Amino acid sequence: MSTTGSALRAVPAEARDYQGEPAGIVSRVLANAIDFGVMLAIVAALYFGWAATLFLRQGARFRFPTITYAWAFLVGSIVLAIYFAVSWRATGRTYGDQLLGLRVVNRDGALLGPGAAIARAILCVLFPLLLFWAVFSRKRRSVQDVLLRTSVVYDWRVRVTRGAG
Amino acid sequence: MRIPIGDGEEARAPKEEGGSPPRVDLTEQAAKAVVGLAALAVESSVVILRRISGVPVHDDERAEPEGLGLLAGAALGFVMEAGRAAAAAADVARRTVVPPAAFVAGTFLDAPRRAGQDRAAEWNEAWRAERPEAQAVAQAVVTEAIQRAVNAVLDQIDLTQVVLDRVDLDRVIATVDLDRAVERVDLDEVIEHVDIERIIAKLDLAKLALEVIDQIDLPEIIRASTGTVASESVRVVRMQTIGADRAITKVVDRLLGRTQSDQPPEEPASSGADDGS
Repeated sequence: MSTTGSALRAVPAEARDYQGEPAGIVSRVLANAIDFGVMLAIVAALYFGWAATLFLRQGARFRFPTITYAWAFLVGSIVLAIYFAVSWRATGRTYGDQLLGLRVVNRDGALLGPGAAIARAILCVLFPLLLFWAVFSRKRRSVQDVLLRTSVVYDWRVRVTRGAG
Repeated sequence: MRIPIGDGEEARAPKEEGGSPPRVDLTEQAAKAVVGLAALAVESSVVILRRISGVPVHDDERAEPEGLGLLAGAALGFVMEAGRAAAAAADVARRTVVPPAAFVAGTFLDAPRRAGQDRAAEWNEAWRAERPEAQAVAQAVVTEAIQRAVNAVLDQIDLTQVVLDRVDLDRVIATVDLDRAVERVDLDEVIEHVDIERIIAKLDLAKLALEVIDQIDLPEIIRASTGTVASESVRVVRMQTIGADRAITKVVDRLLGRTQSDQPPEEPASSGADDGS
């Protein structure tokens, strides 16, 4: 990593040794839990936004729209996939990753490309339990990581490492 | 009057001369001076005599020398000659007589001189008593005279130019305690008169601000401050999850009978997907 010099200064001394190491299952599950909460918030916002639109259109006849579980699941999955893809492509980290100091990088240690980001997002949303392969993997990789040759590493730095390290 | 001239000169010369080379010259000069004085005295006495005798006094130099005048001139000429001869004789006499005479005088005449000194001391004492008053008077006279003289001089001089030309003002200023001088200045009053708006208008504040900002690593400060806020709340959680990650890895390794791969691979992702285990 070429930018470690200045960027590492922002990292507390006790955590510097871990920077760039593959992240373990606890961190990643916690990050995913937080991301799940983010997804719920987004879906709720969408619901209320939709409801507000309906209210404006229907006026007195307005009732809160009822949504089925299937719809909620579908919308939630799509939202989560988009959220993952955009986050990983943009900064390498979702909000959960940010809180836990994680970053998703490719085999060169750089940010994912758009294709890899989208593919990984879809895989993670469809098969979340495959994450637990990381428990057994020597390099702490989930199945998605293995397929796409990515890694989730500890990276508390604020700056994003662009290009190969 | 004439006789003492020669004698006076003769008597004075040996006393004055301590023993320096141009002795004859000096005695001659002294003689001439005395004769000149005598001539003046004679002339003035002639004038006085004429006045007394009722003869009108007009430019007697032009008038032909008559009776008394002729006599006086002749007498003076004679005196001059006599003086010269006397001076030469005195010189010879002095050379021969003075050394032994001085010896004799030094030996035998000192006593009266010492007695004279007592007298001199008395006079001196008297003078001392008088001195303060005399000095005060002299002082007053001198002061007044000097003041007038200085005023007259200063009127003629461009003192400013003199100071500029001659005075090292830097050195003078170096000795001035400016801080104390400034303390006595009413700066508020001064500021009242300053047109700050005009000064500000002259400054390129935008450029100045940019330069200042350039000097400050603003992003670094922001990062550091927000970073600390974040780390205060988040650091503990992050470190604890890292610890949990390691613990779980350890347990799993033990369950799977792995050789304590406590150390997860150092480089994060450089090895690629070679082992998908």
